[in-house]
Parts: sequence; C-alpha cells; structure tokens
Amino acid sequence: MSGTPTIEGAGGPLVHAEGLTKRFGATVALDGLTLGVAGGEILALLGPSGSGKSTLLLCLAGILRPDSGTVRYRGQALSDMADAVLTCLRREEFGFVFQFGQLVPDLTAVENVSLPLQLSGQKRGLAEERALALLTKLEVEDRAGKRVGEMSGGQAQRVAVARALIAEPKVIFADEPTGSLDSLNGEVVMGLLLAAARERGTTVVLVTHEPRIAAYADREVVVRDGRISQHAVVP
Amino acid sequence: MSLGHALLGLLEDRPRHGYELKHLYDERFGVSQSVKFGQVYTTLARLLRDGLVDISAVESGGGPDRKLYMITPEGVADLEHWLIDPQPPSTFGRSVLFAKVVIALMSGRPADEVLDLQRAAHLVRMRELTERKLAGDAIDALACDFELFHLEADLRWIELAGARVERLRSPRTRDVPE
Amino acid sequence: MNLLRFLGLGGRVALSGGRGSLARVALMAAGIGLGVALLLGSLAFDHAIQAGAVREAARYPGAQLAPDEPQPMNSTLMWEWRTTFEGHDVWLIALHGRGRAPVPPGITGVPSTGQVFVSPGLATLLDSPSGSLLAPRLGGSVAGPIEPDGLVTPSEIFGYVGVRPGLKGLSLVDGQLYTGGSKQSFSMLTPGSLIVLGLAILAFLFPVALFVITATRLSTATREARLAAIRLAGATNVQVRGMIAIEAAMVAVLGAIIGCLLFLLGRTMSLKISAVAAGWFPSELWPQPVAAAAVLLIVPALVLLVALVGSRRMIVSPLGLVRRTRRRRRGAAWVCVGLAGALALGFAALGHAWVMRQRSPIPGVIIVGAGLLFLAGLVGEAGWVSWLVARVVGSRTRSVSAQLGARRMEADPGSANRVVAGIAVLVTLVGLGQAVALADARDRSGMTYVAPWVRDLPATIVIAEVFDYPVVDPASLLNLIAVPGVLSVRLTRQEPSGGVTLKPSSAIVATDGEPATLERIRNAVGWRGDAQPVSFWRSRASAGATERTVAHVAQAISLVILLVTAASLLVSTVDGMMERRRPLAVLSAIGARRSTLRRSILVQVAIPLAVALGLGASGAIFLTVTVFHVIGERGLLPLRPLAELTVAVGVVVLAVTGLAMPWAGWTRRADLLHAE
Ligand SMILES: Nc1ncnc2c1ncn2[C@@H]1O[C@H](COP(=O)(O)OP(=O)(O)OP(=O)(O)O)[C@@H](O)[C@H]1O
Ligand SMILES: [Mg+2]
Repeated sequence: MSGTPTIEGAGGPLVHAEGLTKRFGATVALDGLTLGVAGGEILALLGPSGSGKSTLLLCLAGILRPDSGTVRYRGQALSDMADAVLTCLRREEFGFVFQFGQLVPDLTAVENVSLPLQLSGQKRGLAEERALALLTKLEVEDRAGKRVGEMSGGQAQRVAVARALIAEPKVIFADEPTGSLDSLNGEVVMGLLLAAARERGTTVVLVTHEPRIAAYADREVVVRDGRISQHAVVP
Repeated sequence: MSLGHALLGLLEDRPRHGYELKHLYDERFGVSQSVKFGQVYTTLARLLRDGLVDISAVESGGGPDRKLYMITPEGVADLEHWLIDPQPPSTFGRSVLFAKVVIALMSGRPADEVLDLQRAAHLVRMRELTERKLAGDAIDALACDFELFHLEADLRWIELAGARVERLRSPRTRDVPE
Repeated sequence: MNLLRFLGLGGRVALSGGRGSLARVALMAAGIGLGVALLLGSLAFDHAIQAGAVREAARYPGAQLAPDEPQPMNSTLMWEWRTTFEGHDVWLIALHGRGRAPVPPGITGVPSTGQVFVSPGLATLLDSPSGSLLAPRLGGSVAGPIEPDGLVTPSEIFGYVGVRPGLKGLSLVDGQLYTGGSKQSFSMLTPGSLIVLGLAILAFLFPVALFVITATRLSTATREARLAAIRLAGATNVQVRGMIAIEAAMVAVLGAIIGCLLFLLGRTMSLKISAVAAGWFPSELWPQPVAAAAVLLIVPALVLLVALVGSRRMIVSPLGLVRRTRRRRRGAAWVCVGLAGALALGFAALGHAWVMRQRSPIPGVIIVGAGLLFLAGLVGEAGWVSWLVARVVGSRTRSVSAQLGARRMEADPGSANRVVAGIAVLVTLVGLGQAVALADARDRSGMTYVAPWVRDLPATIVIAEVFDYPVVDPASLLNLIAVPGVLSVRLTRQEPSGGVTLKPSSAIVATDGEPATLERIRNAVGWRGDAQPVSFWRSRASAGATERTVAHVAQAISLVILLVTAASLLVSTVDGMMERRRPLAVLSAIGARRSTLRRSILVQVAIPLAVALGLGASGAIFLTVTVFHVIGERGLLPLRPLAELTVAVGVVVLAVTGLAMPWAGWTRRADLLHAE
C-alpha cells in the first residue's frame, strides 16, 4: 500500500458519512450506512448490482440528499450548506468521472476540460492552455478540437478524466469510470487517473465491479444491501 | 507452463549457463513461484537427451555448472511448434481453490462471506501485483497482468458460484448478479 | 389482415414512445390544425367577400343617357352621392323611376321623391346623438329599411333616396340608367394590394409551417433509437418507412380534424366580436364546399408527402447509434438567391413607370417572384448567418454561459435556423405590411401629400377649392365663422398641396377639434360627392381614429405570429435540453451555477433572434423602398413598428428563457446521473 493516508480536517476523516439512509419509493438503496474516507486515500466501492454504490457516491458528493444521516466534508455537514455553497464546493473541491455521457456534446474536448476552470472564473485562454497540457499528458491532444461524436469511448473517457483532474480537486468521485472500456483502455484510464491522484495526494472514491480495478485502491469496501459488508474488512 | 519450452525460449538468442537460465526464468516467468536448480538441471538433461540442446563449451575450473548450453535446430523447431499450438486451459494451482470454495459453499456457509473473504485475500495479492506492474517494465506488466486476470477470474467464478448456490437454496428471492 | 396488423403496429410505434412522442404527435397535429383552420378561415372570408362583391355589383348602373335624351319610359335613373360623416363613408344612391322602373336590390320599389330607404348602419348613425347633422344630407325622410339582400355588409352605411331631376345639382346628364345591375363583380383589390396580400398570407402560414417542422424534429434522437430498435428486431427499411408514413398519416388526419374544430370555434368566437359581426353575414362566412374539401385533402396529402420525402434520405440502421459529425453549412448559395431577388426588385423599382404601364399580369408575377426570391434568400442565409455568429461567439467569448449557449446553437443549428428564418420573414413582412398600413391610413385621411404647414396646425381644417368649380366663392367661406365650434377663419393663397395661388383660394378654419364641428362645416359648405366643390384637409391633431385601428390590427397579427414562432422556439429549446439532460446534469454536478445555465439558454435564444431581427429589419426597409417605388406610391419607412417589434422580440427572448428555466432546473436532478 503506497501513500500513507493523512487525516485532515478536525481530526477525523476527510469525508465522513454516518447512518445514511436513502429510499426510492419502496426500494431501500442505503440502509444506515457509515463510512469514512481519509484524506489522500484511494477507496474502492465494490458490491453487487443494485447494492447502492452509485447512490452512496452521489450522497457523498452532495448531489443527492440522504433521507437521514449526515455526510460531513472536513467536519462540516453537507446538509447544513445552501445549494449555492454546495455548488461552489463541487466546483472547487470535487471532481467527477462517470461511466459515459458526461461530456457536453456541443463543446470540443478542450472546451469540456477547461469548463471547471472557467466555471470558477478563470480566463478562457489560460484555462484552455492548461486543458491542452493535461490532454497531452493523457495522450489525447490530437482530439483536442473534436467533439464527443468524433471520439472513441476510450478517448472520451480520458477527456472526462482530464476534466475531473484539471481543477486539482481534493476529492475525485468516479462511478465505474472504466465500465464501458476494453481492458487495455480501462487500465490506461485508471493508471492515468490514479497516477495523477497519487502525485497530488487527491482522495479518490471509486465505484467498480472489476476486482482488477479495485486493486489500484488503497482500501476496498464492499456495499451489500445498502450497508458495508463486515466480512470484507481487510486485516 | 512447460519448463522445457521456457528454457528453450531463453536459449534462443544466445547460449547460457545453467545458473543464468534459472535466474532469468525467475525474473521473467517466476511471478508466482520460483523454480529450483534441480528442476532446471533435470530438464536440461532431458532436453540434451532428446537432442533439443547441445553443450557448446565446458569451462575448466571445476563445479557442475560450468557447461554452456546452446539450442539445436531441432530445438528451435520444437519451440516453434509449441508456440503456435494453443495451450489447453490450465487449472494448474487452482484445484486447491476450487476444492476449497466448493466445499465451503456446499457445507452451507454464506456465499457472500466466502466471496468477501476470498476477495479480501485475493486483493492483497492483486494489489501487490498492481504495484509491481506500475513500477516495472512491459515484460513485468505482461506477467503481472497474466496473474491478475486469472485472480480476477477466480473471484468472478466464486461470485457466480455463490449466487448459484444461493439460488438453489432459496429460488426466486435472489437473482444472479449480472 | 397483414396490412391491418402492420397499420396497428405503425400507430403503436408512433404513440408508444412515452411523453416525448405523444407531445410530438400532439404538437404536429396542433400545428397542422392551425394551418388548416387558417386556410379554412381565409377561404370563408374570401367567399364572404365575393358574395358581397356580387351584391355590390347588382347596384351598378348599366348605361349612360345621350346628351339631351329624355328619360325613357320604364327606366330608373340613378345618381351616386358619397359623403363622409365622422370618419364613416356614407354611400347614397339617388333614384328616379318612370313607369315600371327596374328596382335595385334590397327594396321593393323605386322610392318616390323625398322617400329614403336606409341600411341598418345608416339608421344607427341617424339615431346617434350627432345624427341630426347627417339628416339634412339625405334629402328626404326615412321611409323604411333596405333588406339584407341589398347590402354588401350587414353594417354598411348605405341608402336609397327618391329624387326628382331638376333638383339642385341633379342634371339628367349626370344620371345613369339602372338596368338590373352588373353581372360582373369588381374586385376591390388593386394589383398593388394583391401583391401585399399574397405576402401577408405567406407571413401567416410561414410560422405555422415552422411550428409543424419544429414539431417533426422533436426528440429526434429518441425516435431514431426506437426506429433502430425496430430495424434490429428485423424490420426492413421499407417497413420502417411505412411506419413513418402511418405516423404522418395519423398526424395529418388528426390535424385536419383539429383544424375543422378550430375553424368552427374561431368562427363562433369571431362572430361574437362586433367588428366581425358587423362586417360579414354569418351565412356567408363559410368556405365553399369544393375549396374546403380541397384543403382537407391537400394538406394531409402534403404532410404525408413531406414525411415520405423526408424519410427517403433517412436510412435507419439497426445499430442506431449514428455518430454526429459537423456538417458543412451552405449559406453562400442562399446569399446569391437573395441578391438575385434584390437585384430584380431594384431594377423593377428603377423602371417602375414602365412596369405599371403594362396591362399584362406578367410584370406583377415577376415582381412577386422576385420578392419571394428575396425572402427565400433571406430564409436560407438567415440560418447560416446566425450559425456563423454562434461560431464566432462560441470560439471568442470569455463567458462560460455564452460559450455553452453559442456552442449548443452551433452544434445543432436546425431548430434555431428555422426560427431565425421565420422571424426574419415575419419582421420583413410585418415591416412591409405596416408600411402599407401607414400609407393606407395616410390615404384615408384624404391627402396624398400635405404641406407641413397644414399638418402642424393645431385642430384646424383647411378648405380648398378643387379644380375650377365656380360653386363657392372663397370669400363666402368667411361666413363659416357663424358655425358653432369654429374659432377663426382666414383666407390664404397657400395651397395645402404646397403651391401658392394668385388669389386667396383656401380657407384656414381653426376649430375646437370636435368631430361635430367638421360635419357642421361640411353641411355649410356643400357635401355631395359628385358636386363637392371643396376638399377638406385636416391637420394631424384633428385626424380620426381609423388610422390607428389599422395599425392596431397589424400589430395584433404580428403579435400572434410572433407568439407561434416563440412557441416553436420554446418547444425546440426545451426538447434540446431534454435530449442532453445527462450532460447537463453532469454539468451541474461539476458545479455549474443555475445562473450559468440560465444565461446559456438566454444566449442560445438571443443569438438567432438578434440575427433574425437585424436581417428582417434591413429586409423590411429594402422591400418597403422598392415595392412602394414599383407601385409608384410614396412609402413611409416603418421605423416605429420595427422598433416595437424589436421590443417584442426582446420580450420573447426573456419569456422563452424564463419558460425554459424550469426544465433547466429539472435537468439538475441527480437521478439523471444514473445510467439510462
Ligand atoms: N432514481 C431512482 N429511482 C428509483 N430507484 C432508484 C433510483 N436510483 C436508484 N434506485 C434504486 O436504488 C438501488 C440502488 O441503486 P444504485 O444505483 O445505487 O446501485 P449500484 O450499486 O450503483 O448498482 P450498479 O452496480 O448496477 O450500478 C437499486 O435498487 C435501484 O433500483
Ligand atoms: Mg451504479
């Protein structure tokens, strides 16, 4: 296990969820789940389909509000924050990678990647320069001027990784980022994402079905029926 | 993995001593377990007997490992034949795991638990391999990936087997994942 | 049986796509219904106009007496008197019959001297408080009403007056023989107004067509995916096309039904409006059966044809996932088309004297053609120009929201193109129409040209001699000071049309501005149309209200058109957001503010409308200048209506953005982040 996790904030984990419950009608997606993510840690969320991994991720990122329980980021409860503050938090501190369909189809790759910087008020020229540099690092600079329709799934996913990384977020939330890629592209995308994360000490919460991808993480947590499975605690 | 063929492959670019072959083998293929000197020498003796290798020189100075082995034309032909011949799916080393999981499931232990425990154990190894892969060169990566994919396959099989067994126990309440 | 099952499948496919495809079918049917209703409505009005024209022709005299010829036995002699009363045109026909005289429609016999038969409109006017000022002009007392079959419109202000020749100003020479009316009705429409009318109908149908096309393009991606799934399930391309045709046929039939209902509803409603009830006989406000049948057959057939032609280019592949690449835009060709039309119009304007001298309809057709060419060019290039603008804005702007909005427009310019084209044509035609209305209003106020000194007088009437009629001695006009409401009278050598005469020939009559004063002056000076010795020139301050109503109607029409277009814009904007709700949801997940999204929609809506407004305004000014020049009239630049339209379009931009916002908020919902 490389990169010793550092505990940030008020002496606790960077992101801490306690007693999260979320229902969709009769479906209980999360059932009193408690989880802490340390700063700089790369955490993999495993578990069968429909166990509530995506729901958990969205709750941790403040996109979905749990029915009960609290999510704290740096010791501060997300539920106490106004929507504008949450939006700002997501923009400045969080990055996101999803399985597919996250790039704005009307914008070119560079414009998509520079979007988070521009949203936080950076000059467009500068933002696009940095975006291009990052795309070069991820070896997709030749697609810089293209739109999603003109890219392969793997290329689009690298662009998405670049977009998640560009604002140097504290936490990256990734929901099956390699789900629609072949093994090689999956490895490459994961390698790039995690290398960049380790280099900067970024915390990563990663949902995946593939143990191989989970092996990139420092720690695995298995979600089962909306709770953390206790058998899976690694000695 | 046939040790004989691996040795033939290592001899193809130039003649080597027996001890050199052992170290090279460990470096390239011995990811899961290293080979013993004795194994290397018995295998080389068999290859010599079959005319697939020859001794190109014996250096004076005593000791049994002063012989320099080289591959013969017959040896090259045999290696080539082996390379293009598809490998039968190997269960080498996995019969133990198989037996263990089957016995565990059949003995009525919860499938989730069997899976999670096995996965935890597997993941420790997989994380090591991933780290080595990220640090090493392409050859290392190939070797690591080989084992990683097999370990992953183990886990997937356990997952499926667990679900099947669960379904046998309580049909309809649970679906096979994926 | 097989066919029947196929038909059922097609129908189900059309309707089974959830809310999106239901909305699509509903909007398409609504648009077609609107178009059908509009066509039926204009046919109904056309029928009523023609019926009125036939009845009007039935009053026309048929022959002239030779000089010194006495009135033959069994004949009716008629004189036409026209006057203006409080801004209403009053039409009186004076009659004198001998023996078994032919009777014009609406009355049972030729009235005897002093008998007046009045239309209901004239009766109402006479009963009004100021009616006593009109009564002296009738030359008799009311003996009875004119029956509806003698009236052009229900509220027409019209009367038959029984007279005896030899009365003041009634010479036999001026009279004409009534021979049972003319069989040929005269169209009230001049070639010039026909051109304008044609363009106006176009202006009406265009936004409706636009709306229908917008509706057909709704949720294209979802629809393509569904059709692809059907292909994957084993349908041939021909079968898929058949399903598209069935869907179109369904929509067309539904649209025709909605159109009939809308027409009936609109007819009932509009007959409740007093102006419509006064202007038209309800029994005639129906389209002729043949014409109605043609509309009900041709429109659905057209819809079907368009759907089939449209689907010919569409090869639905079982893979369904067609990658969208940027297409090259053709704009230059359209610019050429527009320029060709403009050049033709320009030449026609230069040689307008020659054009108007031609008796054949060919020059008129060519001019309308050139106008259409110009408009087509405008339509074609409008989309291209707005795409170009979006491209430049998208790559240059510093603001994220402008970038998002402009790039969105650039990537999928289809709907914006149509809206731009629609608004550009609307602005052009409304501008032109308003110019016509202004010119019309100016003509109604009784002056072709008014010297500024008259226009700017406060509440004043100028009376000028017409021709060399020796009827009125200008000096006698000074007696008008005795008329109540007249403040002062002075004679002048200045003519209202700008010249100066040797002797004083005009009187400047300052009044209190009351309409009744004008009527009293008319009564005092002389009023009969054929013997009117003087003309009245009104200052701007005493101009009537009719001019303003015309402008109001034009405004209302353009507002309706603008609303239909705005609906298209709203529908396509919302649909665009629905189709990319996932990327939008991700956008807000990565921290895009609500205001960023709102501004991006604003930009996306504002760019096409601003471009359309600019193009439309220049088009309107160009068309006004050239068309009026060709017709040989002095045009007024419709600057005020254009300014008003600009404000209206601005309001539309804000309204569409505001109405689209709830959906933008909806795309922020987190569950969209779940895989579809
Ligand atoms: N928006 C929603 N509306 C209704 N039910 C939902 C919604 N989102 C999630 N669910 C339900 O909540 C449960 C957990 O869903 P979730 O997406 O978190 O699972 P998951 O672990 O991510 O599954 P997978 O591995 O297949 O992505 C499922 O039963 C799902 O059907
Ligand atoms: Mg999920």
